[in-house]
Amino acid sequence: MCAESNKECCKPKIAVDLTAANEILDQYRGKPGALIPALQKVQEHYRWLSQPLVEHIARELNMFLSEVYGVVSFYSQFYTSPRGEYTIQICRGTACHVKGSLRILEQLAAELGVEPGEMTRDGKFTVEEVNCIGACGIAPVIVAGGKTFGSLTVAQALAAIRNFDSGV
Amino acid sequence: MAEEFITLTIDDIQVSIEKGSTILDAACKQNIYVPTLCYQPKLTRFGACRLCLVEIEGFRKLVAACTTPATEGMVVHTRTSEIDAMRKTVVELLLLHHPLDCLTCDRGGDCELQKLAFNLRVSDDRFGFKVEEYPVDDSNLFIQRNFKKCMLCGKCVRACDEVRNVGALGFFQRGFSTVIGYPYNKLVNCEYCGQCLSVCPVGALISKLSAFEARPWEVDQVRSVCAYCSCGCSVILEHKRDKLIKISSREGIGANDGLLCLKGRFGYDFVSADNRLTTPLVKTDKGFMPVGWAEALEFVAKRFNQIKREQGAAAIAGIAGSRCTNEENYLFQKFMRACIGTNNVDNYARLEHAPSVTGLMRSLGVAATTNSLAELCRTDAILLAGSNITASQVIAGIFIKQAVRNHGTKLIVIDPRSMEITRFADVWLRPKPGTDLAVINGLLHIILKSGWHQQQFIAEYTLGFDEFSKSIAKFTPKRVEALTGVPAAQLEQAAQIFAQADTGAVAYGMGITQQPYGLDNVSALINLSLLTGKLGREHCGIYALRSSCNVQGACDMGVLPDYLPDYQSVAQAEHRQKFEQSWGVKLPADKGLYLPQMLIKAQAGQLSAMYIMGENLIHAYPDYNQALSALKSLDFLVVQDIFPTDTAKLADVILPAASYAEKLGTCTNMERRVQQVRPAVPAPGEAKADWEILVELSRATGLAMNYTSPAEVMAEISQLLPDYRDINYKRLAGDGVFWPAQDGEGEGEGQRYFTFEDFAEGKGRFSTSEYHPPAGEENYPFILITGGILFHHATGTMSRRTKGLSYLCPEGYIEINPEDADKLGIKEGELVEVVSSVGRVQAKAKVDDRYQPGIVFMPNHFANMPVNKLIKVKLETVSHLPASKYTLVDIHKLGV
Ligand code: SF4
Ligand code: SF4
Ligand code: SF4
Ligand code: FES
Ligand code: FES
Repeated sequence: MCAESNKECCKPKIAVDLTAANEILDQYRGKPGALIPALQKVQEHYRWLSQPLVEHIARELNMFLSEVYGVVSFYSQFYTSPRGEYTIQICRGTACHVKGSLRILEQLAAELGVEPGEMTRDGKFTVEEVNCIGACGIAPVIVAGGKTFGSLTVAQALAAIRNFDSGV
Repeated sequence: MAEEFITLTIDDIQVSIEKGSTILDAACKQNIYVPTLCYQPKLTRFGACRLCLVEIEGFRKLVAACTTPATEGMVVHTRTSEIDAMRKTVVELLLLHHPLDCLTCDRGGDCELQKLAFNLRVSDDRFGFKVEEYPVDDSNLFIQRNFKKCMLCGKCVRACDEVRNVGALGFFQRGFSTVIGYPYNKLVNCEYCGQCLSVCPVGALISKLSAFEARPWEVDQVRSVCAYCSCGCSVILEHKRDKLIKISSREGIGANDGLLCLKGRFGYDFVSADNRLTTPLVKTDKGFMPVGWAEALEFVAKRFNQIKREQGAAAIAGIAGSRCTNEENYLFQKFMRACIGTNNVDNYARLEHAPSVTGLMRSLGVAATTNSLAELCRTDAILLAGSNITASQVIAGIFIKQAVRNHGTKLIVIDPRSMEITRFADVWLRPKPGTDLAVINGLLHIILKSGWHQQQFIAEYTLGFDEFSKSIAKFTPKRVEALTGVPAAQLEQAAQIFAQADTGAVAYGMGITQQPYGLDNVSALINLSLLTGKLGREHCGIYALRSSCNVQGACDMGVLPDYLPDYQSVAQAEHRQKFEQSWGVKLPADKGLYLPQMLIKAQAGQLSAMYIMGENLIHAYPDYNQALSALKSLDFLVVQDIFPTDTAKLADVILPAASYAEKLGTCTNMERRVQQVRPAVPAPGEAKADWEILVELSRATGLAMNYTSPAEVMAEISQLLPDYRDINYKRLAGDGVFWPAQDGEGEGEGQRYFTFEDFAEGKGRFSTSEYHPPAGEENYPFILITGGILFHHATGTMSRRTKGLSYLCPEGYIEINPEDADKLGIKEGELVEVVSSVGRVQAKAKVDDRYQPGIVFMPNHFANMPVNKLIKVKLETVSHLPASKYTLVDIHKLGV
């Protein structure tokens, strides 16, 4: 209808449960420098920062959406696409590369049916490449759900994930 | 405090400049060219593009002139072979990602990058990279963004944020993938003002309306004034031969200093609309027939003369539009008074700001806003009442937003509606509709009780204080809270802020005036200025936020039944004599009919003929049924307009007029700034400027007003109107003149703000009033508020005929609070019927919570949703304004 509805003072209807976000934002409202910690906390809960969430945060902190989204898209710590329950990080540093991390990456991605950076369709995993994580001694290395697996062959890497999958 | 100056040397030239200036400022002062891309005078310094690099003796590295402060004794070189090489590299790097399609780029010939490449002789893409494909962003109706051409200078982002306070744009992603645009490619908050467009140094942002219409060198520019609201923005009309191509603005000129709103910048294509009136039309049995000018004017003159002979001059009345020039309004009332012989003249101001004219005259003796708009930017406290200012007087709204953000101004808003400006308010008082007077009186009560009033000021500069102070004793915060729903604590806070600020201004709009007791509201606001000593000096003003571009001028020119030009009363013989001498006729001494009275008389068969110039009366008048039946009862109706409006269709004769882009004249904006309107293109067909039509019509009636140009009319105006004395077209060449302008020399900009010497008694007068609570009615549970929105203006005669504006907002609607919508089972976009005691109208529902439950809103710009069919007006008894702001209605969902 009328384009005046693009105004932020017109509240759009959002299909996300905002209860948790509101609880978090209550601690930050009106405080200077609150944006980044607030974003971190909200992301911790929702795993990633969807557009309706970012819009909600902007409105609640009385900031321009352009400002908030500018920050969100600037820092790699903030995710703007869905994240799985567990993150699988495949180290692509030099040592791991030499020990065949590319094959591990390719095989894992094929097994889970995703490209690096994407989330599996069941919402369980997000696969991503990282730079050296400082464990070159046990290269090649992956970190899945916070646990580090080292000195892997492709088969071991796949096994680690499959076990993970079945809840081990 | 004396400014400290320092002296430095730039390219062997000595420059002195205020301490704190940058090297670039110093270079500009000497007209030494330093190339820049990311620098813009009004915006914060960015220092990103590195084009302004200069060498300072004794420094190892080159520095950015735009961010480096000039210091005493500094020796600067702006062109060395090293600098040229650096700049060349910078430009080459920029061109790396920039498609070289200058030949078909809309900014070709007017692009900073092109100019730089030319100056530095950058000819080839040295790195041989291929530019990646980026899409263009077409989501903005008026502005296309081409990511490939963007140099990430960030000017558009800063302009949108710092100047407009909108923040629709940002930098997203990082490193090589950095882009500038809308968050999520979504136009949140964008107001389509085009400020971003106006600062973009290259062709990354272009106006879709004018793209590929013309090359910059084919375009001629004419400086003029915007035809929409009373901010009176200076505009540059750009035309290619006979076609208006584009409207732009320029920093540093006019009231707006480079700012425009979407109506001013993009709302111009109505000028070349297909259905402009191009020939006089006379109504016959077979409908309207085109006739020549001579025949049409003969006919009009004959009928007017006949009616005058048979029924007397008082059977004829005239209504002038507030969008015509001062000269035209002056001639209109002269025609009615001198040629016809009646004081039955009135103008659109009656419908919106009659209480301001009456109230300001009564209390101060001047019928105008007291201070200039620019002063708002540095006023310590502003009280804004009854105005959606960021939609209806956009530039004044921006000044207030900038004041809050940059000057630390405290803003108090009194309005039931949640609006953009309420987000900027320190205190937002949200009264029940129609209870504003109680709120204002509550503030006055608290100030007086707390001893915050300015006793010395009151003793020296005001009258009627004792009676006034008694009259507000009843308005204790508690009682006001009960009457209005505004918490007492908020009232206290607002009163304290306003009273204790060093400087303060009061601004109010039609939410205050268009009420049954609008005059009392206005007078109470004036009381507030007087009580707190915030009047008669800089940054202490009362602003009547008027709607159309020349409402002020139409009143100044005496298109009023009780005042001759410049508010000289018709009842006083010495005033009449002055005009009688000049015009060579005897003038009627009786007050004429006010606009609403004209309609009543017409309905009663006591008024036979009407002449309407530039007003779509049946939609402008708040009571549609009454206006329609009145015009239909007339024997003879002449309508002069640029379009065949619904009012024109009722006429016996339609006279085709020229639009603002086609004629010469002056307009007076709401801050009393008289400015020149200049023609850029010829009028279509045989259409003529209103002043020409009036001159020719007067000849046909037998009493000729012989003028050959608007300048001649202005010469007469400046002789007969004390406030316009010494105004002439030469003096108006630049930024215009604030009246009162007499200075004996005919130079200078006139008077920006009134002092007490300018007020009639040298003092301001307190007023008292009775408080009347708004009336309720059982069968109509909702309060309907009508008003304006950002995308349109007045009856939409111009804005709705503009493709862009009518696309953005094609039709009317009714805003319903979600709670009410739930109860009635109404969903967004559903058709509802709105019923009042006098009519019914259908509209689509827009569910949002700008108003509290129980209140609904409908915009009043749409002929296809004539909100005024629902309204039965109540006349304000002194100023004769037909009050219309609130109507009681019921709402039904349709199709159930
Ligand atoms: S048009 Fe105005 S509001 Fe919209 S992005 Fe540009 S500067 Fe901002
Ligand atoms: S669009 Fe224009 S103004 Fe905005 S950053 Fe790009 S080049 Fe600069
Ligand atoms: S409508 Fe008003 S604010 Fe907008 S450009 Fe015209 S004069 Fe300026
Ligand atoms: S390279 Fe993989 S851990 Fe260092
Ligand atoms: S103009 Fe100085 S760095 Fe851009």
